[in-house]
Amino acid sequence: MLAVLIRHLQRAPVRQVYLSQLYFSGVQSVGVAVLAGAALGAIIVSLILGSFGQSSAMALRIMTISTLEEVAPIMVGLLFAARSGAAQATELATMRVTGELRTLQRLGIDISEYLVWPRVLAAGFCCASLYLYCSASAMLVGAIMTPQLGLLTELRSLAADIPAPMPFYGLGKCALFGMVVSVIACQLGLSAGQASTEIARLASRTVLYSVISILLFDVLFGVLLRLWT
Amino acid sequence: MMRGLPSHRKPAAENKRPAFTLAAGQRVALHCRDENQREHWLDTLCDDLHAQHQRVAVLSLHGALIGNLSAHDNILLPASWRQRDSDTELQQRLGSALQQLGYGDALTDTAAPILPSWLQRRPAQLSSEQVRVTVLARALLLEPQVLLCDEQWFVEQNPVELALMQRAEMFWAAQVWLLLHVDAATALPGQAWQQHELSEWLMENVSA
Repeated sequence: MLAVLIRHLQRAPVRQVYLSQLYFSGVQSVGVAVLAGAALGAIIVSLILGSFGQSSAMALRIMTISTLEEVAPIMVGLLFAARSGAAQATELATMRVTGELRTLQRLGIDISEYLVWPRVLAAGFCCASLYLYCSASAMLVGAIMTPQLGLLTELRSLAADIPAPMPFYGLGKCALFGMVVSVIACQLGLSAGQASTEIARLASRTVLYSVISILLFDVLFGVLLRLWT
Repeated sequence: MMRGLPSHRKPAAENKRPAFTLAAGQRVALHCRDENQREHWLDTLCDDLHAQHQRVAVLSLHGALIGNLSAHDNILLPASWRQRDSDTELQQRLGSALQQLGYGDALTDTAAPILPSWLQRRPAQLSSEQVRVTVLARALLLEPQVLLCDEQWFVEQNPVELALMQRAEMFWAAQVWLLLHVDAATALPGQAWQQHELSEWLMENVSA
């Protein structure tokens, strides 16, 4: 698998697409992921403190577990679907409509290898990275909102309380969501016909299908996790 | 059959795979009944020639360049995809290809050629002449055995584009040219083209 991936990335044009996707879907999305994480952290902690009367430490713990396990992966997946999934579908559909895909095929370039695989791989990597940013931001804001023992002490005790597999579970789930969204975007983008009106329709359909897929996969993950533990 | 192609009813011969042999330097003009048939057979011929490991270049202007790549990257894309030459070699070959086309005034050092600044622009920012140069340079880098083109390539040429095409034709005098056209009046330039109806040519050249 790793050898196939390395051989795949040895082609300079593939590497170029992969890097541009990492930049667009990853680097340029860091700000919005951090903002979403901060907002989530603040909302969940204030909700628990205000409505359930828990202690600050418990509120922070509940927020962290819910964010790492469920909220951050779903939030990152939805952000990715709305921003990058729609963009990928639009780009590929435009290439179909303008005849660029046809040109690539005529030049003997494999569409899957050149356009699809770099997007799917980059999507998995970007979503996993954005999950880390989103979670870290939520934990930081949560800790700031529950000042008891000092920020560093609270973060340290929080890190000790979190079960070790939990961040990896969230990372894996997020990477899968990203790849699923990207597969949907590529499939729909490449299925475009010759009319330019299809571009907008396919972009909106990509977001819809992606949201449904993310929710269904999340339910599946939840059920499997409960069965396993 | 390529995915996403317009489906239309074809004669029996058109459903078979072409297994033709063409002599070097031969120029065949194939008349198609409509644009759909022309595009379909350009796709199919490319597909088959690639499958036979023939080096093919396509001279067609519709969607010829990838919009999100610079002209420079568009030229290098297919050659780079084949991974036969290193990046340095490709740059050198690009420099000499542009020189052959008459765009190499600034080339002083072949090891690190200075390329025209417009090569960094996207296709939408190029003039029609620069688009043609880009497509021709891309084809030159592929060192094709077979050139496939449509009539759009030959029509509406201004004197600069015409001179460019004449220079390019000199490099490819020994190559096989296949021109698929709908409108013969505008399609055929002043060379010795063997003219055929596409469907008849397919009947004669298709494998049983």
